[in-house]
Amino acid sequence: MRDKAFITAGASVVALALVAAGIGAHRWSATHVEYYTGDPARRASCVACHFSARGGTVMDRIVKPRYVTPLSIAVCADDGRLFVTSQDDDALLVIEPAAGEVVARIAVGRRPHGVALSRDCGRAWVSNEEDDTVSVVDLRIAAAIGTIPTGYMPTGLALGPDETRLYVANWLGDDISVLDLERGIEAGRLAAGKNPTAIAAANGQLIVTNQIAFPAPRPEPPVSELTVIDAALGRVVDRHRLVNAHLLEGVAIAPEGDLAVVALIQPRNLVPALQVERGWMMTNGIAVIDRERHRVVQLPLDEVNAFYADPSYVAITPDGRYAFVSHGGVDMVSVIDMPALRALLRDTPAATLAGYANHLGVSARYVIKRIATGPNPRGMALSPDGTTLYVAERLNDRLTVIDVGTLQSRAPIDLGGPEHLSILRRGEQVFHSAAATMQRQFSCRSCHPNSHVDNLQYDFEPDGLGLNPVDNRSLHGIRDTAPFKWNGKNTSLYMQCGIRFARFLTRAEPFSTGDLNALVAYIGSLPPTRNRRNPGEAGLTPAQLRGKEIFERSHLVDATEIPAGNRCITCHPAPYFTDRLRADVGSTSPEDTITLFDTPQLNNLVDTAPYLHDGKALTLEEIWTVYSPEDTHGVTSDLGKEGLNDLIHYLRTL
Amino acid sequence: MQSLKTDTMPGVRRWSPALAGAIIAAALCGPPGPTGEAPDDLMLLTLAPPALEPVGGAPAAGLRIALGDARGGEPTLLSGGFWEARSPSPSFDGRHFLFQGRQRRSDDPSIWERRMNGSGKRHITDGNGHPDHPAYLPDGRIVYSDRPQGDGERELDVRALFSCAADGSDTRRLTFGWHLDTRPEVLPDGRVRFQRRPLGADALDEPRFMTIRPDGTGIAPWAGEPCGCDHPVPDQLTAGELGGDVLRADPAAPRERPPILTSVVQEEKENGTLLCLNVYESRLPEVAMLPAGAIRQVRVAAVGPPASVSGGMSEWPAAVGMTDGEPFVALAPVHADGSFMVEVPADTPLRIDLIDEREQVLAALTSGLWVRPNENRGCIGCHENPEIAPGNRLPLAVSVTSGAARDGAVAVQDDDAAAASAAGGSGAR
Repeated sequence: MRDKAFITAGASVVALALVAAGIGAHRWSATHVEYYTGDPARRASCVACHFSARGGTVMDRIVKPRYVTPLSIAVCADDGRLFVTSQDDDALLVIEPAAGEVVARIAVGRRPHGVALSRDCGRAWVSNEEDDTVSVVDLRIAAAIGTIPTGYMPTGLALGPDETRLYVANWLGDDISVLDLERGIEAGRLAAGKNPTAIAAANGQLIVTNQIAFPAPRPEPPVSELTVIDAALGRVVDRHRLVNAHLLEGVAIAPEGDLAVVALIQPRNLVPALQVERGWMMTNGIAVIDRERHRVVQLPLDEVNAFYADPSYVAITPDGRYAFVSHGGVDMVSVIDMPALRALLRDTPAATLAGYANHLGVSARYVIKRIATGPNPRGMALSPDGTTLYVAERLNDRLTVIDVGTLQSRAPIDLGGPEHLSILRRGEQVFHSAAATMQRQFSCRSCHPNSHVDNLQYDFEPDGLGLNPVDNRSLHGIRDTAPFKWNGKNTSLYMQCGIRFARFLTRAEPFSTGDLNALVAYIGSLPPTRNRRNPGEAGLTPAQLRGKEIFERSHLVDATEIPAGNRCITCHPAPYFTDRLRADVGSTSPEDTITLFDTPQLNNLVDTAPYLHDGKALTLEEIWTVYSPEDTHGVTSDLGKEGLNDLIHYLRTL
Repeated sequence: MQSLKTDTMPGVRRWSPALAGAIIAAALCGPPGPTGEAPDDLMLLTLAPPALEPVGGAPAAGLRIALGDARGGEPTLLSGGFWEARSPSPSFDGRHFLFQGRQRRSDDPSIWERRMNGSGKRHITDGNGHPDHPAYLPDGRIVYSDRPQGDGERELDVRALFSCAADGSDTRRLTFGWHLDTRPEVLPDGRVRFQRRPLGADALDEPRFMTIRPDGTGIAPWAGEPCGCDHPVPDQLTAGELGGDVLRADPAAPRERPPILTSVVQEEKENGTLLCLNVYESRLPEVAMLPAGAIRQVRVAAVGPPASVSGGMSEWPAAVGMTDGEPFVALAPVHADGSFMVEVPADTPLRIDLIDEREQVLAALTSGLWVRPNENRGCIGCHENPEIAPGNRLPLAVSVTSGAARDGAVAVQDDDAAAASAAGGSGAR
């Protein structure tokens, strides 16, 4: 009897303790979520912040199955077979379009991007973003037979006219590799603009698009480059500078050879971001290289009440009648009537034409149709006879098939990806979709191409017009670097992408709870970019080693102790090289109303110019030589030029 | 959406549990076919009054609302129990519709809601005595036009847009000015498009189409494709045995709910800001032909009531408008790039005068705009082509480092400025 009473009492105590613990845990978690999200409704799910697909664990594989993620397409002129790069599956897919199925999967390097075919379709070359190589594929045996090293992060590629050379755009290297295909080596490298992306070849010339604008001090407008290469000479022969344009991506040359069409975005980053309507934030368009008139004309693809975010790839029919532009942000393809475009270029005075870049009424004169696709359409290719257009639905693992004669979609080609839509995949779709933006003008990706930076500065509304302009920041590896924003006010990604994001940026409906959870999970899963310039601790050069000592030093050259708060290492400790606190380093500008700024992480610093909170330092050198003359941002004045160079050599390896 | 009152449904005298259950089930699930959400071919018809009474010629009823099928067939009367019903507007899910109705001829019109099968009725609001053209907003609120009650507005029969909660509470005014703002409709992008006519205009006069966000911010002329507000009545649609002509047919089918646009309005604030990127960007010849630098400042005034209204033309006194009985003038410098920024009182219709270095008025513009509390309103130019996007440059008016006189870009209220405005103010607008 006593035992029973004892057990009952004990069970009651345990039950009460569990209830109390449960209540306490619930209260703690509620407070925790509310603190980090700023959302009193506490709609965040645990997975939004506490999951990562970086590690490749079993759970990661469940959360992020291995999708196909098709990007670029090439077509064999002989038999119409399609060759599609599969970014997440590290493969080149061979597709028989008549059968509508994948007939071969050829393993290539990591994160394949572009694909080029020999004329006889016996060989293919695939650029591997993560490996900094090009895979050489023998299509007769359906296998990769070797690799050729390239520059950093190869993307677009194109063959020279005699097929002895392959030109490869190196996105992170800001250059173009010239590969000698007979010897299987990189024979040379040409300087490009900023982040070269795509290459089109015709009539002995290559046109290279450069995705990102050169760093420029505010209020100078962003300028991007179109690089023109003479394939026979192997030399850059022209550099078109496109003012107020960036995110230059796809390029195609008309069969007549007189025009080339380039997809781009026209940003409005210098205008205070106080609305979205009327293209106030950005417009989506094209540049037309008019070779006869020696000019480049920018034209919109948007309409006054409808925007077509993230123009990406371009394809032109063999008869030159249509140009197609895929819009990754709105899941559509725009159809441009090329004769109408030619007429516009021919009949419009140059001064009027120049103003058309900002005229949202003119697109109706040459855009004749918008064709819906699946999520995130990117690469495109036309069948050899020009009757069929294939569009890679990058985040849907399918190819859209469009009948060029009727401009209607036919049955898509399924590439065999997982049917399950993981939270990370959904987050990736949300990130690349403009659906949550007023009039679908832009997506997250519009400002964060490759989840990175667009090199631009923005003036957001709530802290005053013209005040507190801020430089864009990369999303790579930011999961563990909270707080966010330059003022350090956002304690979580959930808060960063939440209601204020909708109120002051997208100006439409906030993300649904499910989409926000997915978006936060996706952004949190983005790994730090591998710094190609980091040789590892043992591989540092003497200059880099000297720079490391300077970075970690506690005493000046004359042995005077540096106050702890003014040492590099104090505010920028590894692994992210941020103490995640705010600091006043004397970088305040007249536009600023605050002096304390979030200490940025320094990983891949070399790829995130310009620098400081408002992007006023165009180079690492300027951080100290121009904007810290009084040693308010660490102590460097005792170093001399060589010492400062050493420090910068080291910083470029982080 | 709260369920509809049914205690006045014809033939229903008292509640019963079974009936209540059926009603709740109907409200939650909706009955099928024409009594539930409307298929694509169903149209909300506005019918002319039926035949006149044989004695005296007085109409037996006013306008009526019916549900018709564009494929043909007999329409179903939806406005039973109302002497007059007009301006039907379907909900996004196609299950309900709003309308302006009068149960008796002597009643003032009110806004009502009914199910798409004609059952139930829910009184939304009496407004200010003449609410009309209701439409659902994406967030569940309701936008409609009505008579505002400000000084002079009732006398001049001004019409403005308002919004209220689904139960008729929390009324907010959305548009301001001396106009007839009517017929709001919600666009797929979440904005509200409405028709604007001058005071005294005939209903047949061609309106201008304007857009606002649902909180009244972002007033702008509608640009783009011509408005297709008046849907043509298909030949197959007739009033049938209900009699009378079909005056109007509006789609009743469900449609995608537009996004709920966020708002920056803070009602407790008194002012907003107007930022113009380039005052010389204009389709008005008197502005576009001015040489760069000719405009030295802008004078922004509250537009008061017109002195007279006749035939759709309003005549204003040659004096600055009034705000709360005090003269209001805001002066702001126009910078070398044509930009200006000025803080102005919220919810006040504004007029903008362009002033040269001799303080003479170069052009006086009836802007037709206002700002809501805490709104930062951006303009590309003054009466510019509504199809252009802004150029990408930092306006000097907001540039701290370019030496812009930010201190000058604030509202001032003093007698001298008011007198200057009065001297330079022009007459008819």
